[in-house]
Amino acid sequence: MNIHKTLLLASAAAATLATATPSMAQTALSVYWNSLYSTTSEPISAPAMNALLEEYKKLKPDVTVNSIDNMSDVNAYQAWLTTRFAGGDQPDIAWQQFYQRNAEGKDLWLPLNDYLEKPNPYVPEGQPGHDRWADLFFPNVLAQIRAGDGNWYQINTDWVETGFYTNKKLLDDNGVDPTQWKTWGDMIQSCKDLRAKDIQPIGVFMTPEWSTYQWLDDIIITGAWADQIQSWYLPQYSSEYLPWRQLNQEEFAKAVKEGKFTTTDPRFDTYLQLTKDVAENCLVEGFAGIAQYDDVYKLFNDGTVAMAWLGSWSAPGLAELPFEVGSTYIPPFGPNDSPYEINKSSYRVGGPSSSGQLGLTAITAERGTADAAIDLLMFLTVPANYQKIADVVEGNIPMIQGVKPSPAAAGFQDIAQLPERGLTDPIGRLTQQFGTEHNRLFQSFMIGELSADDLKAQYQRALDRAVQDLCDEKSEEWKWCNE
Amino acid sequence: MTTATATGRRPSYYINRYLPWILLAPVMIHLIVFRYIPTFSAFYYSLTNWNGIKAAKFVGLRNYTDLFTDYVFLDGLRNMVIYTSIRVVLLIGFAFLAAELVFSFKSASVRTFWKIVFVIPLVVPVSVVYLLWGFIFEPQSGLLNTLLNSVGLGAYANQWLGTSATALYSIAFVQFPFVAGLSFLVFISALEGIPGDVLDACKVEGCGRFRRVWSVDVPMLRGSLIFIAVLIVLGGIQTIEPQLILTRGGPGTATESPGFYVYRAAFQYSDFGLAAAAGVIMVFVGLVFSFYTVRARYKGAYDVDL
Repeated sequence: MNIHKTLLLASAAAATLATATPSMAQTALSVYWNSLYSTTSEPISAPAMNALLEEYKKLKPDVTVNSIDNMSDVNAYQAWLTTRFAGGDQPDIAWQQFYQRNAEGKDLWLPLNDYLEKPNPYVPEGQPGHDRWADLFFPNVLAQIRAGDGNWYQINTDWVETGFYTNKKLLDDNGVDPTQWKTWGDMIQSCKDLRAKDIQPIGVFMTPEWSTYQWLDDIIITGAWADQIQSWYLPQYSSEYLPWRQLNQEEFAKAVKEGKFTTTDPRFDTYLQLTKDVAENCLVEGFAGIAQYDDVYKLFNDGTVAMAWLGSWSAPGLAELPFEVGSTYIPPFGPNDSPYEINKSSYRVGGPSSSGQLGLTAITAERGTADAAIDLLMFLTVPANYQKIADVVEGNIPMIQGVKPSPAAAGFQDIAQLPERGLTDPIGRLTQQFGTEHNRLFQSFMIGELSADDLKAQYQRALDRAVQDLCDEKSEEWKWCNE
Repeated sequence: MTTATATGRRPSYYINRYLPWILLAPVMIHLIVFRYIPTFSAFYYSLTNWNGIKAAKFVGLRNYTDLFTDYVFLDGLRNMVIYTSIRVVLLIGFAFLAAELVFSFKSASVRTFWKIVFVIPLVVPVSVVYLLWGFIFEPQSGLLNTLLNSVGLGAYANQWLGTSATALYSIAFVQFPFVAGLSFLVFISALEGIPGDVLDACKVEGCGRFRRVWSVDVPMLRGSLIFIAVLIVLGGIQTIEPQLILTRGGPGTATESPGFYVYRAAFQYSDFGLAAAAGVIMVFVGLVFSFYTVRARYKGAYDVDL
């Protein structure tokens, strides 16, 4: 047989084989897991996630999962995600803050309600989640992340808290004992005592965008308006699991529109006074010039500040510091601090704003990848599977039934029992523009460059403009806008 | 043997004539697709309310009205003028001074040594430079305040990035003493390009160093000086690194800039129409400045024959 015939036969055989082999339709999923998949920033969670995905690949060989590396700068991530949406190249599954995702709604995200009612085939029979996926998650968590339109756009696999990490030796040597703080005023006095000895009390950073200052603001504004907040709840958002809960965007906007939250209210003066007290006495000098979370971490590391307000996710890294690290929390507001406080408790700032906020982009419905994405999430949320991730991402508190927290996260469980803040971060209260304006105005006020009267005038204008913008956008959903 | 075509011209004629166009075509395509089309489409989007996802709706000049009634943008424009003016004076002044000092060395090897010293820092990314200066400006343990305290000038220690009075000037001083860079290279090359007989004539006439600099060097370097000034101003108009890395536009609006405003409008507010409008204004400012500067460059110039 000559060479030409040989080649012809070989080609024919290859073609036959190719057409005879059943082609497996491959589904490719791109996923941004946030810090659940990180190759460079701590914790290095990629190996654990990759191992889990290898197991998943054995079960679903026709699904390829492309995990996108964690971007530790959340502002950079938001810019990246916005670009992806604009280009129609968004991931199938992506992280987003629940309040922002709920504000964006169906335009960008796929409602998960029907999927949550389905059984999770990966959960063993007899365990929560087997008959109904939603049973894997805690009811109070589901209640908190539900959007105003009644949809769930994400699942929450974990939860975070924030608190004060303390340099125990520095505090002990200077006679400060946070366990003795009964009220906010006690904390302010301790700050004054530390300052008198040239010690910087508390590390917090503040920029016109997101910063740890926002956590402080959430607690202060709640303390100043606590007696009013529940009266602003709308019945359609109320839940038996949450007699005290955070106001959502619509509820706060309505309160502003109806003049219930206004800068002329004496509560606003209390809000400003509490803010001024903490800025002048407690916050590290130059806080308005610190631009990043990691800079606060560094100030605590090198002993520049006696305490630092950081997230529970920072706990594992702090274990390696050369001094003993303690933890404490902001104490409740006493009657002398805020006459409007009703809860006799401090407020936790944490909650669902964590790494494990995973939702499907709306485009998955067009791409036909929605079912595959949900299947992947169902696999991930099996308690035995997610435990492997929770053991690595130690600073987050797992919120799946049966998954145990790490020792680092367990330390925050007391804080997790506190009532939650009445309002979310400023960037989530109304519009993002309002949030930036809030931060800008308060930053200038806190460093003494803007008077209270000027702040109030500009702040009221910002409130009114934000509510007007929201009503222009949502007048069909928010009927009260036209009243 | 090449043969003539029907027109009587050899193929080599056409190759020589059209080859530059052919070779430049990929560059042209790249520029059109990634520079010119986005620039012109920005004009279009600046007249819409496009959020990057939904279809763009025409809103006329509303974005421009919003910009010129937004104190944040206006403060950004003001900051841009101040920042750029400071940078032009400092970058040109120090780089020119360094170039003159290096030019004064007779030995070519010594000059080469100094050129290397000033060029190597160019490889450091801008983001690293700003991160470094963030440490320098730190109020508690930063290099600047530590230095001031150590020499008895502790009264001048400050929260450099933490107060409106100093934040903008602090970021303008990043990269002090400003000699490592393109400016120095351009100036030293231009100085070395001054004809020797001009310098000899100056010497014969008895002019000292300062007189030579003022009467010979500066006029002969006019083109280089203006070129660098244009680059610095265009860079200042677009500046965003100090805001992204050091200040996020704060405190208040003390370090806002039009470039950062564009970034925030597009990627945080998803208001691409507003971002495009701000971008159009930046382009317009840059074009006007460049036009008048280049025109002034050639007016009464000694170093070019027109």
